[in-house]
Amino acid sequence: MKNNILKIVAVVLLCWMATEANAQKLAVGLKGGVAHTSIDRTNLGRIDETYSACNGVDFGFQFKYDLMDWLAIRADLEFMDRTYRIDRNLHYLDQVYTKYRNTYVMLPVMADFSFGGEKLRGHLLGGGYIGYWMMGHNSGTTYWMTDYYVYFNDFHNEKHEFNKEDHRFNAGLVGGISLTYDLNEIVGFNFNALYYYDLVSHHKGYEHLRDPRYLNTMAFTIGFYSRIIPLNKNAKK
Amino acid sequence: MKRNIIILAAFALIFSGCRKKADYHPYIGESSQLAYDSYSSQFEFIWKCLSTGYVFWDVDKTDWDAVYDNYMPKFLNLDDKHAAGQDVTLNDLEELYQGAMGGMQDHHMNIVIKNIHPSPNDILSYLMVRPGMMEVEKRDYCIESLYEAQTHIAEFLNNEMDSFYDLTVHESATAYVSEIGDSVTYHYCLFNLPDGRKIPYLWQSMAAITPVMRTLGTSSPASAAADVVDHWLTAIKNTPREQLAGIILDNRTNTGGYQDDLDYLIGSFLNERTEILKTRYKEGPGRLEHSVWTPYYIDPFSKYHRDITAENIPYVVLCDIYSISMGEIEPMTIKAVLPTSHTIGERTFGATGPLQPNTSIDLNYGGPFGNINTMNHYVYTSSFESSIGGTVYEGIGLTPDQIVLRKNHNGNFKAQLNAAIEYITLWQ
Repeated sequence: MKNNILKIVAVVLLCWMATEANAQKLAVGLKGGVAHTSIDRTNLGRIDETYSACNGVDFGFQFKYDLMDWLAIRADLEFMDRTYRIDRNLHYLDQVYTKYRNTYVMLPVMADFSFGGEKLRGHLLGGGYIGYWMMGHNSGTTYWMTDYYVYFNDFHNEKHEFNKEDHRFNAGLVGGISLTYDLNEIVGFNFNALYYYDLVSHHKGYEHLRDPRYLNTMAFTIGFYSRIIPLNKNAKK
Repeated sequence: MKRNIIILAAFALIFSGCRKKADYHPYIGESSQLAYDSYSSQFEFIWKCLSTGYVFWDVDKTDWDAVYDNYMPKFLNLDDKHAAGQDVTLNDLEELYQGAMGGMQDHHMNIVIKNIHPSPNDILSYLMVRPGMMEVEKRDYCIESLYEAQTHIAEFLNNEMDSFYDLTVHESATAYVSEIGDSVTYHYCLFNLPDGRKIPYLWQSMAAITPVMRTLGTSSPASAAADVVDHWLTAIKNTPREQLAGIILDNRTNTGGYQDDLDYLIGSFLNERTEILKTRYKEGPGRLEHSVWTPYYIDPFSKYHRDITAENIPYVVLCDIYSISMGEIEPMTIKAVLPTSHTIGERTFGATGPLQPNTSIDLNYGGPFGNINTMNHYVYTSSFESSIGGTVYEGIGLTPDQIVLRKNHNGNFKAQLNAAIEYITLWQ
């Protein structure tokens, strides 16, 4: 049933795209860059920890459909490492830390308000996204202590084993700016600076003890896009 | 342009308030929230501390939220009872705490509670709930209390060993270990087999070889105990292979102690650095939020080194229902690491989570918390979770390779030791 619905949607979209007027409004492309992620969570009861933001990669596809000359719908399908780090501060454990690299597949859908000239245009983007926490890999240093000695152990890229506390579905708000430069009527480049603001905690917490944790990501990407059919500038106006 | 910015800003403002706030999480070591003045808030504080700091939520099947739902109303009833001028006794509290927490898997756990409104009918000043002991005393092979077992094995070692067995040597000594405020007793025996071979045997009441051996060769009162351990290890090291039938380490009623003892009991027989066990700790307040497993390695210990694997020397460890903590981690790790090892006796206690004192609570946000002298609660619970050979033994204990139950031998300690001697005698 689910597959049939998907097939019907795909066919309708293809038919709709088959008209030149619609197809020339659509641009598709690739993008890649860096995602700088921080975590919002309570540190009550965690007095000797510091949370810090880390960089990860962000790459994927971008789609844009022009509605008007100043308004478009922009949707990206991207894979984003949302990485942050927790450091212990306690004097003789201050080398203990964990760096959490969480890989998400994200689907931001945004309104794209544009302004500027024919080739170089500025864009204000705003909308929402849904995502899915695909996997996690952690690195850092742990410790173990006997009665007389403290031992430290480095670990690298240990796979995160998901458990019932992990909330893998993700959603939130996204907004930012973009600069586009059309090389010609088919191909263009863009620079994107988008801020992702989680509204869904990645930790489920418990009925009597809520402990939400939200990620915030600032992603800087560059990309290129191509129209399927050359843009008819006159038609756009 | 201006209109666009206004629209975006409005959306951001509307939705940015959609994030939920965290509930208050007690820092497990803090004192600011300890001034509770009701039975329900006392329970809630302990419930929250264990929710965030208990290290065994991955293996413990207790439904902790159901515990809250079921018992909070009962503690509120106690508050009502007190408010109505009626007595709330330690017995009332004990019944609730046993029901709420008596089934927990941490076999080190000891929940100590003071009555915040002491009753004239209270005989004691506080109650204790020990989930591990509650579980162990229900096992069908449990025939006596820990205290009784300790008394009986001491009688056996002191009064019966020499008459039952042919011993070349029988030395014993007791040392007070000031670091833990407890005494440890050792018995070293050198068994003679009918074929002339020897078995060096050591019984230890707790795992404290490391601090005791620091006194070896000194004028410390503990040095006599160090001599006993030294003689056992030296006999293992120096007895010629054709005269050495095997080794026995007797951990029956060994109530635990120092992890570093593994240097002597395993490191002495290793040729290379070897992973003994893994540990992990809580690194967040989520119940399943653990650090990654950290391997613990032991290096060869040269002073008493002998390659018992290459020389095919059997190493038998005796354990019983009261082999607790390091008293059972020793047979578990010896079994996991040394190929010629063999464990005999009863399924052990099941308290395998390493502990740190509650003064070290900042280390890993878990472990013991509270202080029964200055506060109204103290909860003794493990600081780490351990895994040996890929198994978490907490609450379960080690089932030895060869089960010999005292229950089936009139409660005497001979049958298990006889099984060890027979195993070594028949070893090929």
